[in-house]
Amino acid sequence: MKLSNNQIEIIRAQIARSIQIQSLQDDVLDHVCCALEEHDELEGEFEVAVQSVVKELAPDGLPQMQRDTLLLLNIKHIVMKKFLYSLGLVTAMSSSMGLCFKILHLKGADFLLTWGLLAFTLLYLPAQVILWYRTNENVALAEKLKIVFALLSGLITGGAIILRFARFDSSAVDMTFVAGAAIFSFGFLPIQFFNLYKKEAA
Amino acid sequence: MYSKELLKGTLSAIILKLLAENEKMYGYEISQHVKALTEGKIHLKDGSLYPALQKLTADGLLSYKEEYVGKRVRKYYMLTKKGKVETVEHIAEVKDFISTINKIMFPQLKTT
Repeated sequence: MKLSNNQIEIIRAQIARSIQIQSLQDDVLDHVCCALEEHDELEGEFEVAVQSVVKELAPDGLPQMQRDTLLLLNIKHIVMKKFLYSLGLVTAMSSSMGLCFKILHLKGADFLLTWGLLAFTLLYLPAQVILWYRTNENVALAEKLKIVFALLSGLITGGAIILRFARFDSSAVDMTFVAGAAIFSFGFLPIQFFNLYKKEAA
Repeated sequence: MYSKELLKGTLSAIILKLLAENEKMYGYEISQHVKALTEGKIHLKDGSLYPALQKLTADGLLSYKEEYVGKRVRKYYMLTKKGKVETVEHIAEVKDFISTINKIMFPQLKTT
């Protein structure tokens, strides 16, 4: 069964409806065409023959094949994201419960707050920023700067709060706290609001 | 015909081994070759071949050369330098795995 150019285009369009990854599209198109060309018994109604070959190649459908491909290609990223979000959740929960305990003068408040904030500031925030940079390499410089300011202010402010809870009461700790708040207010916030304005204006 | 689950862990090794022996192959050719070699017992028709080829390419174990066949592109896959090294490791691992499974599933009869 020799396929005409028109028939190839029909198959291509059908595959493109389910698969957007170009490289995978090319593979599947060639496979379907080869199968149709090699098997004379498939001759008959063209549409039926195509459906039959596609069904044999991907019994769960072409969209599932694309999902499987994306999963395989991004498995490390997905696992890392799951871990990161779990870490973020646990540390945020620990910090907020610690704060609640502190207000109610309950035991364990310092422990929950200190370790929650420590892990949030030193593990979660930097890891989240690294992951963000890896997946957003081509974003505008302003957006990158915004993230740097957010990280810096988070690290400095978090550090100052931890030192406070560890009862390091000194003017240096106060200054650290002020520095963190200043970076957030004069670095992160202006860029964030400028971006919001730009988005609104567009 | 073997189940999808049984094939899952060995599919990459099968692809790498075939490419080590055949220099360059395209997807359909790989699937037909596997079918012929295994007398139809392994038929890569569960949609797993092409995701595996994409993954091996992304991992740098395979590269490909595109050739036009009429109006369509055919991708000939081949092993990279890294792929050649890892093929040896993959095959050794599968061999070891099969022998371990054999020990569990078909232990030799003990003679007294």
